[in-house]
Amino acid sequence: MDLVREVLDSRVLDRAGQPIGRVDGIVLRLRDGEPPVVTDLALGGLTAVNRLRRPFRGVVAWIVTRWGLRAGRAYRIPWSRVHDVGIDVTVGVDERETPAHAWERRIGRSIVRRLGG
Amino acid sequence: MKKLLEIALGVVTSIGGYLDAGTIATAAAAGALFGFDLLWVIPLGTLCAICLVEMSGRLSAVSRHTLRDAMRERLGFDFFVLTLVLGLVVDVSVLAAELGGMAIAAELLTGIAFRWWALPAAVLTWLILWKGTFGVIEKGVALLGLVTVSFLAAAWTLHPPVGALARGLVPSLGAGDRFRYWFLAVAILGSLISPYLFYFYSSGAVEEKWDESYLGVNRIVATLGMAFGGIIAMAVLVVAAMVFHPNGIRVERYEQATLLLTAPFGRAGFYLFAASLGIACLGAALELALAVGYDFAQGFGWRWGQNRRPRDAARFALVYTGALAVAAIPIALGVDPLGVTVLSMAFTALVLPFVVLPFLALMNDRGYLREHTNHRLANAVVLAVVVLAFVLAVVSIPLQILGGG
Repeated sequence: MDLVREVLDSRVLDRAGQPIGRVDGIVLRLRDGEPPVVTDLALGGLTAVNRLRRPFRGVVAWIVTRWGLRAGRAYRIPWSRVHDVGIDVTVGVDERETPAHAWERRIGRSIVRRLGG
Repeated sequence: MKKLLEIALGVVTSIGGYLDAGTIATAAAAGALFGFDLLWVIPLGTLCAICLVEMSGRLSAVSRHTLRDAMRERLGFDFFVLTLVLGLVVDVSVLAAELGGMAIAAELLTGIAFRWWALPAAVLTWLILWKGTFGVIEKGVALLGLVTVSFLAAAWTLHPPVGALARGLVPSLGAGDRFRYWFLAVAILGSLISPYLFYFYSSGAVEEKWDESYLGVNRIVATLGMAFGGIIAMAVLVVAAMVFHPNGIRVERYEQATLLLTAPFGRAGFYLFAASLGIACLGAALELALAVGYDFAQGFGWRWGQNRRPRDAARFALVYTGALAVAAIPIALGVDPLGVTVLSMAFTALVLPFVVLPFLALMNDRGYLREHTNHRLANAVVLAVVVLAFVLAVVSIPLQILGGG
């Protein structure tokens, strides 16, 4: 499997097919004398920010750390919970467990519902 | 039968949804200054738009992924952020131009200065997005946009000389103020080959749950819809050439442009122009606001969709709300909408290469398109459009400085 082409930046869907983010990073465990193994997918937080070019990284990182729900910590999904890697990555996770849902709920309650949405 | 109805509706709504503030302003300015000489630019831009729109729709119908999805997945995070930022600047500036067009239409009808209509225009656009479905937006507003066919009727009524029309369809280097000539050529192309058009169309294909069985529908809608829309854009230029050019009138304000339809139709033409401008700009504003929301939501993997309630795609809804609020500001402050329009078209030309170049990679990706990738001719067309886009990007700012005044 070509991790960069087939996994990195792919859309992640929960077990019900709802989008919960994108694979912003892939966590590997290095082993002496053997190929590394994938342990987790990393979504959100500073993972994607750290892939930006230097001038922009600082400002965006500050925003994410200051205003993000998890203060910049990425949400990790163990590789063992990945069900399928195709045009999307499907994982055995319920969207309601994820920061994506927490964000939607927070913005939905604080702003959108007050505007009648 | 259902597919036939979809084709008919798709073509009709493409006609009604193709014209916007940018096309009206640039085509009218071109016709006023240069007569029929810049007519050739519109079929060129329309052909480019047809090809790219068809490809956007094909990508989405086969892969069930949008153009923005594919750009992030295949071209990486850096490129995504670059195009997101550039696209945001361009889309919000064009959105400001469209809100300005709506405000001018309201000023024409009420006599109240356009700056007081900026906020109501933004709120009206927002309300339609907040409460309406994709079908209401795409079909309902675009059907209203058929009022722009009045430009076609005006062109017919004025009996333009066929010989001059034919000469105008042949590319020329321009006479007189060459910098202004080429600036307007670039601005017209920027108004026709608009990035938001491709993102919106590809997102719409996913919203409407198109699949491979819709490839034929996609081809027909993209071709006929854009072609008929291009004909209406040509009609605007022809009418301007007949009404303004012989009298040496330059179109420097939207209010002057009302002559386009009052000359052939009298008082009724005034109301037709206001309705055409207002509705065309409303349709474009809806597409632009959604395109900004799509860019963020699809790029970051959020929930999105005009068919979802705002609370079910809160971040997506918040982004397009914010875009409308920001876009209304310059118009509310009294910045000339026509100036914003022409400038935003030049900016569009500047970022076009970043939008068009990905098509070369994505439309040949079997992971997305399977056996429906581009054949050689299609790739040759994309390459030609990429070259054109780079040329436009290089010359747009110098021409804006030298010929945009």
